[in-house]
Amino acid sequence: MGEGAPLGEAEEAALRALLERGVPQLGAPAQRLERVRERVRRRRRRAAAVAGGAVLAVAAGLLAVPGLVRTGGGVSAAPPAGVRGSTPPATAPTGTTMPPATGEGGYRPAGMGGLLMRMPAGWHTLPDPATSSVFTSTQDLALPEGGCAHARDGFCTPLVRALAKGGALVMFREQKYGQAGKMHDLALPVEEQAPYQACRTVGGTRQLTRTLPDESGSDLVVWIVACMAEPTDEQFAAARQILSTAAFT
Amino acid sequence: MGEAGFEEFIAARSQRLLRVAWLLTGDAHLAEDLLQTVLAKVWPKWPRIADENPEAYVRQALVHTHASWWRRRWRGEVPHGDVPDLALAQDAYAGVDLEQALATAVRALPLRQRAVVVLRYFEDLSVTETAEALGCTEGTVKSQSAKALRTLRGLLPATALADGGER
Repeated sequence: MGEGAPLGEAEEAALRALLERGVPQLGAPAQRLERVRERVRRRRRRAAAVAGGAVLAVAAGLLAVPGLVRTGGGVSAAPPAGVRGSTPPATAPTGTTMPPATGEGGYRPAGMGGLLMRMPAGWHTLPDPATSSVFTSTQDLALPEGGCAHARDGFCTPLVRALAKGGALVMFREQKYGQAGKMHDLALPVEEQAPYQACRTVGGTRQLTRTLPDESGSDLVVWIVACMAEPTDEQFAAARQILSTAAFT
Repeated sequence: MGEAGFEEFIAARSQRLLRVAWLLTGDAHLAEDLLQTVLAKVWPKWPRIADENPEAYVRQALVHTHASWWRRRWRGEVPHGDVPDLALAQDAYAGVDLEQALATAVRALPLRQRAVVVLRYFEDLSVTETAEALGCTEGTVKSQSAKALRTLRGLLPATALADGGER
């Protein structure tokens, strides 16, 4: 059977038969249902803990002293209008900066291969070389204590405050695949998925993801996650635009 | 259909769904973990989905949850280059465990191709149904099917796709 031979119904039927024969009939653990029950209980406990934490965070936000957080350009950060919660960084925040525009109408972060990001005016960015990540948001950014290396779900949320309604946070995380070939197979389109726990924790209600490989011969892949809090259609489209226009050039 | 209905569903369908999970992960332990993860997600929604097509819902959740795991863990997956060439010796196929050969071959498939193989050729969904489940176009399903079959041709014993492993 040559590599380039056309696919036929017989071959497809043979694959179906092969799968039916080759996929094992695995035994079910005796306590599967109980284990599932326990997982449901754990999920509910976590959800309750997050909800409780959010209440505390709101209270902490109300007590936060304006000016405690210093942002890029030396401007004191008053809480953005409409902020619903607060997740202040445990350490002095890293200054966030507005992205330097390139002649290409975008932002090309250092150390991210040839990645070109295009984002709406006024968004903040925060590079984190330790995790080969760049974050961009409608809100102020600051790395949490301990950095982003051990973020839940791999999605770090270095926000000074929880997302306000309509707010968004986008993470670009670069990883090396280890093989330069077949990079195209790694590509995953922009798609909406259920928000990660990390996204929900900062008030996110909707999430977009994309996996973007550099197909120019390197082995770089950028994983992009956008977390949004109750976005309008327009805000959702703007976030989608950021993901869809990112490119290795 | 309440909790009893969910238990009935697990009793009746989890064996098949576990095989779907095995085909996605290529590993028995990961498959059980994936299935339990998805069932735990589905349970609270059971009253809403029970009267529709719960198996399709769970199957889609398996694919998407696996994709989510893959995104986080893909650095740990074995890329194409390390896959042993099982097709080298046709005569040796009799001694090669079909399950192991299949697990190795399936793990070598990229995520989307793997999902297409599972849905189209194991779950026997149509191209349209597969496209709906994966949120992509029918053209993508067709092209990914073709690529997957080409890859499997190169990884499985030469006769496997000719006779369905009847050796």
